[in-house]
Amino acid sequence: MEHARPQVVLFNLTFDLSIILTTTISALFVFIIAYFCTRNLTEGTPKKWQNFMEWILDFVKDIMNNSMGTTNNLFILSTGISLLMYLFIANLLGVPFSIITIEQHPVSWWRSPTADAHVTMTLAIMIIAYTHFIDIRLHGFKHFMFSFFKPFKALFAINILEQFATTLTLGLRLFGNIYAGEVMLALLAGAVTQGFLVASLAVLPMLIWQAFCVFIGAIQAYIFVTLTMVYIGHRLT
Amino acid sequence: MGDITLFGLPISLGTMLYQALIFTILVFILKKLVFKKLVGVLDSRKQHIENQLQLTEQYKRDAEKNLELSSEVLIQARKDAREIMKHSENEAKLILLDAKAEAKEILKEVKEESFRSRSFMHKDSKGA
Repeated sequence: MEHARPQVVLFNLTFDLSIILTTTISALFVFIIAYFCTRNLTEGTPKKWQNFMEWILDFVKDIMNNSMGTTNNLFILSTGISLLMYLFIANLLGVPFSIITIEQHPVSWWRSPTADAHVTMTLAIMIIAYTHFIDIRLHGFKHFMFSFFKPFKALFAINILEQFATTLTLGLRLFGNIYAGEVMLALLAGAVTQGFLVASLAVLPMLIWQAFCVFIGAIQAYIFVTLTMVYIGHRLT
Repeated sequence: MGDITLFGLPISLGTMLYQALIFTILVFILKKLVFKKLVGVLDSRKQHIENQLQLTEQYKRDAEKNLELSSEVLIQARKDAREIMKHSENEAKLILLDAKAEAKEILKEVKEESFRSRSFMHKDSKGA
């Protein structure tokens, strides 16, 4: 079941080409959708596509307002919207098909980038680092250091652990959900090799599971954005 | 295969760096090209609607004031009309009375005159 990754080493750093391909494509998708939906902006009654972007913006703004009160921080807002769209598209990339080339050994080229822990953990680390950055910028470095000793000094170890735990859970929750979905899809798709009868029996579960994967992808993107906003909101107050 | 191993897990730092880079670029580009404009448009639309609502409120108040004013004018006009009517009725009565009196006088005069002329005629016929 496990396929090799197409990896190259450049400047002593390992790059996973399949992840680079899929993340670039999903980022491009997000950019194209966002850019072309807002090409002809009007202050009056919005057109279909502008309405769509405004809906997403309002959706993320609602999440923001729920977790940190009314703020007009454009950077946090755009981070939230980009995250939501990027994760949703990244989660969907692996649902319709996957591409695996077989030369000496099978190499998987096309799958959801979020089915790889590198991607999700990177995003989680970035977000937790950003929350720390906000805390230091808003309240100063001293307050930031002292916040680890609250409410008691004895809780220092637990507070440190909490930061690692939030990072880990934030990244691995998304990874686990999408990865499990892909594994299940691969298993069902593997039924094709078992003859006509098994393959035709697997068609319906495959369809249902694909629909479920779309649902899971949307839910996980929403959860990721909500948790991001909650973690940022903790630091703002 | 990875750059570092953490608890036996191979981690490819290059992938993570690329991922961090592309997401950061995406966020900044979208912020600059899309969301700034979109938020601006939403804000100005909100402002526009607020202005419009204020304007309607003002127009409503104006309309109410105008209605009050016009109804006052209407009441005044009705009152005036009634007064004028009463006045003119009185005048008409007076004119009628005057006319009657005058008519009576004229009648009296005429009668007197006719009496006088008849007595003259009487005298004349007697004399002739």
